[in-house]
Amino acid sequence: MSENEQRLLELLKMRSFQRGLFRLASGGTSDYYIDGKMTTVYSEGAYLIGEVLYEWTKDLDIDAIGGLEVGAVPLTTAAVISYQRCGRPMEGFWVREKVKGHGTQKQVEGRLRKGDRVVIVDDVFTKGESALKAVEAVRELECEVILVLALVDRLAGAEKLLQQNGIENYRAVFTIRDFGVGIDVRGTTDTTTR
Amino acid sequence: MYVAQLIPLLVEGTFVPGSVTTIAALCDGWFRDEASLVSFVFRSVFHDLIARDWDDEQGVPTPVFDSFRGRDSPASECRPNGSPRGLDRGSARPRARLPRLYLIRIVCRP
Repeated sequence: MSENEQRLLELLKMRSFQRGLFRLASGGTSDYYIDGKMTTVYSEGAYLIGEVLYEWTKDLDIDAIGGLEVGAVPLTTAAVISYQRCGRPMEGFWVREKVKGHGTQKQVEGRLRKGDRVVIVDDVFTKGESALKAVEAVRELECEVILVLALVDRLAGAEKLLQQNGIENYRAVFTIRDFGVGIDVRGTTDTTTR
Repeated sequence: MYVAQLIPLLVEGTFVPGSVTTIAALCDGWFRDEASLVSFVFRSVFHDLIARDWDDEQGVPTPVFDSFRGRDSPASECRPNGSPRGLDRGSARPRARLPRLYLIRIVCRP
């Protein structure tokens, strides 16, 4: 783990990791929640996220980075700033959850063109459904998804869902195990082990 | 048609935070095809939940979920056979309030 990743993990633990009782979308229960925005819109967090995303994607032949609103918006911004700082222009985009009923009626905001090679990012992955919405939206534009990159994966099925939908290249900077949380094999209950 | 699709999603034991997007979409169709005060209220309730991030993959705080399910939701008012529950489980306290009665009447006895 790089220095930037170590510091980013510290920030996520301090600012985003919350204990409590939560009812998961599936109906299962969890004793933690990761509020990614508490880190992604904080100055040091945003800087580190940009640097880390750059490090994880700089060797790829890509045209754009983005993901589903709202979680991916600060990540995208941070990433493209880091690209610019490193002297490499990079397009950013974000996918609307719903198309506006007025205005341009675009689902994807940003300069994506047919054939572009893109990386999809998001802050916290659970089942991966949000990332999949972004994947489907850019595929509609005939773009190619080169990588789906999670900041934190709760290990609740995202990788499997993405694989089932043709995404072979999925990676996570951190998983919930980096936070000291164990995963129940049934996938319905997460248990804190630290 | 919409009511028959909504009931299985709302009965206790099947209602989960992950259903709200589906329910809201059904309510959209219900209101579009059969505009009424009740379909409007249903649509508003579930779009309000989405606005409150109930569609978050990480779920919602359990006390918030339990509160909605226990006191405010049509989910607690329906049984699979479509009849209203009427009383709290384990309690003899009547649960009749006017807004809820609207929901019961339409969902359970369309």
